[in-house]
Amino acid sequence: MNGLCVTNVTKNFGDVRALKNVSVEFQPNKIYGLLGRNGAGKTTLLNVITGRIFADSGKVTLNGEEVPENDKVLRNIFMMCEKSKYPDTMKVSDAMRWTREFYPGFDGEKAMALAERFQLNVKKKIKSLSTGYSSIFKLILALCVNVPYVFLDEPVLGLDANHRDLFYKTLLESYADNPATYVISTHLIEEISGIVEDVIIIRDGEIIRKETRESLLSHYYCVTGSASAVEGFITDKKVIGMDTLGGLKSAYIEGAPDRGVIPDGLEITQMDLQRLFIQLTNSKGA
Amino acid sequence: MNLNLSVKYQLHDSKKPLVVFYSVLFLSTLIIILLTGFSKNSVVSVKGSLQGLEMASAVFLFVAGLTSFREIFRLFVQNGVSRKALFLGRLITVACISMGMSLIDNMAARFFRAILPAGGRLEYMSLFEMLYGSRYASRSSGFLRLFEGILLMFTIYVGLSMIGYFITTLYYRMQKGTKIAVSIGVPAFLFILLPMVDSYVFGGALGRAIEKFLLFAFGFLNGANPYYAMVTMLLIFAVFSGLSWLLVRKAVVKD
Repeated sequence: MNGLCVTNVTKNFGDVRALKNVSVEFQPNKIYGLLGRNGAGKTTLLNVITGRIFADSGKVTLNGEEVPENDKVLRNIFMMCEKSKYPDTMKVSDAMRWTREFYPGFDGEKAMALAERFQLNVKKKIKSLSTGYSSIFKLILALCVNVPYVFLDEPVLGLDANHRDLFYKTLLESYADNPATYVISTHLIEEISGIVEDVIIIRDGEIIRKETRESLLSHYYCVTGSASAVEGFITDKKVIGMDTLGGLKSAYIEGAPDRGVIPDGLEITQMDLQRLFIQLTNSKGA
Repeated sequence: MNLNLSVKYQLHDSKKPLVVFYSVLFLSTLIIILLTGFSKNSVVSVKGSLQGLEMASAVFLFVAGLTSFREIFRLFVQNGVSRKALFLGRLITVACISMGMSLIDNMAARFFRAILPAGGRLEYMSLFEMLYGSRYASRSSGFLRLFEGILLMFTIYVGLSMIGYFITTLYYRMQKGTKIAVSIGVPAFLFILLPMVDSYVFGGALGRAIEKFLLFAFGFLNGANPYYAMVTMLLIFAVFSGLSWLLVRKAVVKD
């Protein structure tokens, strides 16, 4: 089977069930957004996929081969995580040198060019980097390893708006030059909305949605108007959430709008990814 | 398997501490030799000896074992190296470093002995000679002495390295409460409870049995035979390697 497959993975931490029978597939050369609230299980899922922790049950395979403890397969996967896993005394340049040893496809020239672009001092020790520059250091490694599967867990942590913008551009450049699967786990949903092709939403350790961004957004719409008009409109609709601002009410509805029967005074709009995420992860019934 | 890379990194990681260790050890030994070793007549005519510098190497390797898991494990997990490659790489690294240090220490012992003038105030004696020197009293066996010295120190070094590695992997796997319990419980048991029980319950028989066992294990029960010690240290290496592997194979990254 092609791609990276997570099959029926369950992971408990004591009494807490962090992943509940999770099955998900990552296809080659796609950019995924892995979205979930704090504690939803995003990092746990990524840690299981990359073999940092072990699942209690289920399996993870890449092109049919088991991933955990398989050096040959692990060489095709790279994960950038929130906390640095590099020795404190290691310099950025040494980390790049060793990454080239571990990942023979690592593009050292590109890494140095990106370090210059992001103004990262490669002579500095990793532990002396600020939160933002620590993220930049890890991002540069992730963008230069040239492996088929790259997982980015909170990639823009501590980055200012300029660096975040630069990162997204660089990511798309890297993807265009050398297509790979990128899985971006982040809370900044609006920022990645235009980048990701597929969206995976995880809630309480379960995957509740996995489809293309367009497909996901097409299943929902928003109706806005006076409270009474909206209340009247939604009586026979499946509402996933509502917001009220002054006299205006917005209802988020599952399904496709029938534009022929929209009462006057109501406005129908497509939901954006962040709004949809909030509603889906707020409403238990979704 | 990323075994070559695992060994390469772990050897690289040990290089700097080794250079610092031997620089300090040899410089301080040379200074002592230069200050006192060449003087036959002195105002203070005290004779002395430099003994068992290999003990410093043994302690160094034990401590190196204690500090060689967490950072390397995290780096390897980050870079797609399996626990199996990490562990096998550790075994090979320990063997290489131990053999290298055993060779260096034995050669250094010969060198220091050679440069010290006969009849001087200072004499140099290696750990091996201190423990098993009597074995060679009646025969001239330069090569055998060197061979057995290298072999013995190698086995001691690998054994102690793995004990250190086992302790660090054990502490890595334990929860905070268990760490505290073990840190207090084990020394309390070994150095307080056991001697008390031995003294009041067994009348010292347990201590004598342990002493007899250790004398046997290290080849001192009938003369001085270093091969007993070699086998004992290899068994220690094997047992602690096995236990360490049980801990490493299911180790997970902790943030």
